[in-house]
Amino acid sequence: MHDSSPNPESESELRDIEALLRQVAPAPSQLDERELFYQAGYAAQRGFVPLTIAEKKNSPSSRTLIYSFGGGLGVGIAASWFMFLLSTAAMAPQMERETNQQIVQSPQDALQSDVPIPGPAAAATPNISGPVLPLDWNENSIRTVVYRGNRRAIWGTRDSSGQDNEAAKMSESDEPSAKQIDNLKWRRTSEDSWLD
Amino acid sequence: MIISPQELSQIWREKSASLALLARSMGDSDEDSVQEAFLRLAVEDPKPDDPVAWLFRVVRNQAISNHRSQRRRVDRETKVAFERETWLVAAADMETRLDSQVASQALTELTEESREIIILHLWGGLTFRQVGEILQISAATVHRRYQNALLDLRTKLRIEC
Repeated sequence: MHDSSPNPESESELRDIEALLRQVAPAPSQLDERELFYQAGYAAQRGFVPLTIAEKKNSPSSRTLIYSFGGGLGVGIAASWFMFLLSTAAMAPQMERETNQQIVQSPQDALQSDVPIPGPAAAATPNISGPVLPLDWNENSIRTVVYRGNRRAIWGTRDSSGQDNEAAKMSESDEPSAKQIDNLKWRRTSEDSWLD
Repeated sequence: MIISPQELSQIWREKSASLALLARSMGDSDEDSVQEAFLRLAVEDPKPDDPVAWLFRVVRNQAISNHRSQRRRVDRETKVAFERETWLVAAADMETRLDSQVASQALTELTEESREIIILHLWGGLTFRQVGEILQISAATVHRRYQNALLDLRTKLRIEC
């Protein structure tokens, strides 16, 4: 180190040295301008300077976290979609087999199966489980219904014009007799009537 | 009012290498202080009157802080990196008679204060007054020490002027 000031003669020498040193330049920075602007934008939005680079080297950066989260989300969606496709592909043959079994089942097989076939007995004693709507049908109600629905079959009443005007002419006093009702009940509970 | 992105980018292109050189010369081989200084400048409100001088001051202070806090732990590693790193390269648009490796070696052999003054004024583009404000010495003192540092470099480079 020179403690004394350079004399005027050395001024030109100093300028030459200075010019020579300007022929070299500082080595380029290893930092990335994009990284700076990313972090600067982050800092400007959040209002504080994020972790220093030294601290970030020991912990994942915010961008790494974003990429990790995004990547993890993408991988998760892809895995879910893959599992969905896999499960669909696995269930497809089974569903197809079940469909084919239903198709190839013959009527004989259906008859031999344990599926109950409705018949007169089943109709007489319907297998109703659970709460049912309470019916308040007294005898007169049954009689009226039977009368109105079966009067043609029972009496064959029809006027000359073909119009059924019995309902207009009949009153409560014109109810069918007990024998007719019994006959109707018998017909509806007889196996012969069901087989017909 | 914070600094505009355009101005920040321009300063980055023109001064980041000089700032990194200052950081390296002070033992901050990872250039952490440069990045942190630019980040602080980006959010500094209001922006400094002289952003370049402000950056050099922040880099220097941060490098000193980092160097002090890590001195015991990384003294050996810093010394190795200090000797291995290439601080200077040939200027892109110049035909040079000076070998950059030799110049780098000569620069490392200067005292820390002389090296700082050379970097701040010669490659950083700061005036003697600005350098004096950073180093907390007068501009005249900076000027005198700068000239002495150049003469030292001439000796170390074995230049016949």
